[in-house]
Amino acid sequence: MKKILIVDDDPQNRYLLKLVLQKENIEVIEAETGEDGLKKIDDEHPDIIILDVMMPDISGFQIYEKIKDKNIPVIFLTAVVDNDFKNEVEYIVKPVDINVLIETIKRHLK
Amino acid sequence: MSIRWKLFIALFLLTLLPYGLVSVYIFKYVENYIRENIENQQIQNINLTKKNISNYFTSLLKNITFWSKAQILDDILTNDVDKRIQIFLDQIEINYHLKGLLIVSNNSGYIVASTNRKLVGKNIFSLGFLESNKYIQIKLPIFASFNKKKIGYIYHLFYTKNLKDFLFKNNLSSLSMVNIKTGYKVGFIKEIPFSAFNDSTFENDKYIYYAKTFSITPLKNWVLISQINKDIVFLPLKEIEIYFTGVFLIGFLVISVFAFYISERLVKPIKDIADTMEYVVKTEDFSKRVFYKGRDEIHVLSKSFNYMLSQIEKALKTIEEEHKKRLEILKNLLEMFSRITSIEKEEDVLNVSVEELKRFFKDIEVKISTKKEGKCSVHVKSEKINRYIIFNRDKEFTEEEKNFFISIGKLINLILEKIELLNKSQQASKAKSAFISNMSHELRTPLNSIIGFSQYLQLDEKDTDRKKALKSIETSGKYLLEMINDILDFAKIEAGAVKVNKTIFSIKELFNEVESIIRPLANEKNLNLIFPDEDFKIYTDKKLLKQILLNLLSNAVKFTEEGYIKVSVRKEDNKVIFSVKDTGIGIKKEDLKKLFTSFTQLENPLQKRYKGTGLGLTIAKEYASLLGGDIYVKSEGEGKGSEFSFYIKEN
Repeated sequence: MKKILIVDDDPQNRYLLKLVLQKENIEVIEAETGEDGLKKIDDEHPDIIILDVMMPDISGFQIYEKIKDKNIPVIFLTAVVDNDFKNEVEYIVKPVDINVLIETIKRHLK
Repeated sequence: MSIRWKLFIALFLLTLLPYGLVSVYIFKYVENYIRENIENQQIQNINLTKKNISNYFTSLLKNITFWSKAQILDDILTNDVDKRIQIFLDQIEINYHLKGLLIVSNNSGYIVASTNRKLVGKNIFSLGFLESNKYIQIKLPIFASFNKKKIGYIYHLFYTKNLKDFLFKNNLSSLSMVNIKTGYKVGFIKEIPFSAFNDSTFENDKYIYYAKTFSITPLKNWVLISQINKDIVFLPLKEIEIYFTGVFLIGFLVISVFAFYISERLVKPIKDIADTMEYVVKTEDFSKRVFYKGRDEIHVLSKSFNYMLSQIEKALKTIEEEHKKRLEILKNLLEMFSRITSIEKEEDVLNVSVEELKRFFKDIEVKISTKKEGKCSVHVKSEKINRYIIFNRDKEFTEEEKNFFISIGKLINLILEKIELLNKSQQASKAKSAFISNMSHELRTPLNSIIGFSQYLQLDEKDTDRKKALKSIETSGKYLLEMINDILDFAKIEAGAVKVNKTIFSIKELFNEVESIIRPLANEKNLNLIFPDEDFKIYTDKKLLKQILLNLLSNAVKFTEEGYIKVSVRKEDNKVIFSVKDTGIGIKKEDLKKLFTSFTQLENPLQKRYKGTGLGLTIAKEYASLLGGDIYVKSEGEGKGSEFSFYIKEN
């Protein structure tokens, strides 16, 4: 069973993603803050990380900077497409279309 | 006429006049002298001739008188039978070389004896001698020696032609004797052009005539005339005339040259001054000077002129320097004001201002103080600052200087006020931007959940009604999100929080991104969406440009029911021009203007079908202007489609 870490300060969003991903037989780990997220990446070794860009303590991009060399696939959730890592990582533009989300995740798990 | 010519003419006339007068006077004098000389000589000549003739006849008369008294003549009474009178006459003729006949007659005219013997025995009155021009007659009575009775006459008939012996002719003059009564002439003058014979002179073109009458009886009818040839006599006069003409001409020439030289010499320095003046006036070069060596009034004039020039030059230089100084002060003043007005931080205002003031007023002490002191102090006050700028020096300040310091104080206070206002407005603007940013996040997050959960619930829903309801929630959520995005974008523009971030990118890439969003919408309505094939690099803010295109295209899709939507692009100088053309409902002419006004949706019978905030075009227009361009719309009218074009500038 694959493991996905969702780092998002919005519980509603985490819950939605969890519901969708569990349906696909994927184990979901949640982190509410950036700090918590970094800790859980080290503890749980997820297969994929879904990162919300805008968070109160550490932004998704800052987290990505720190875990870049671990070679874990990262999917950003963002309203803004244009940024420094445009060509390095996957994006899902908010509002999240769950069909797109499922498709993207499946592509990475293969 | 130039002064030189006037002077020349004046000098010339002034010199020529006395010269001419003296010349003419001398000439006339010499002429007179010569003429008189000649005349005198001629008169002397004629007088001499007259004397000769007179003497001859006087002595002749004396002799005849003597002869008439001879005793021998008593023989007349005997008719000279003894021929003694004849012998007496013959002897006289031999001794005296008579120039005529000697005749003795008795009282009745009978010729007793004659030097011409043929006449003896004839009557003298019948011979006609006495009336003839051939002779000049001298007739004396003869008295008998014994009784003193008149017994006859002695005649001397002088041959008139012998008068010629007394006369002469040379190249100068000719002499003639004329009998006034008969007009008979003897002598060398060919023609005598006058007839009033007395002691006089007569002159015509060629000759001068002198006439002399005689006082002695035999010649009382005769006049001696001398004719003088003027041509020859006045020849020396002619020579003198030529000589004088020559001298006069040379004098004339000398005077001309002299007058010319003097006038040139006199006028040259004046002309130099005039030329210099003209040069100075033309070129405004006041460093030019006049040079004149003489020691006269012109020297004084040129000295004064040079002095005037140097004064003007000095004055001009002073003015120029003064002008430069003032400009420098003005420049420094402007620089000072410009530095003071460009201060941005409140805490710098006092220090920088004082620094600038110190630099500007080199001889005035400027400092900051907490209280009033010194000769002049200016209060500077804001919310944070409360200080005095002190101006000090030994001498009291004038009213103008104090006013100037006060003006500077006012300026500094105004700057402080400006900075305060600026700070406040910047703070307000920052707060607004932060609020918008937060709102944007806060509004979108729950909507994302609503859309997401309704999608999730649809996944396993078998009941079609419920599924439709869930889909409806999803669609409404998406629509609400769209509207919130519009409003937030607009608020951002209003707050001035939109920042332009230009990069270089490919236009094709942008079109692809736009197409991926719009294509699904177009497909839903079966519209033909056409993008251009052109590809080139463009330098602008990609996000803003994309937003403009998205807004125009989503509008086009929204208002077009069938047909096509066509996007085109072209480069023109530093402009890039885009256009979005559709075959939609079009726009009324009178509505074209309202189009870009915020919150306006056009009144339209179909309006209820077209939802939205009405902010799309306003946002597009604002973005286009942020990118240095503008947006235009063209429509043939309702139902005939519309074309939106906009341009942006790359620099």
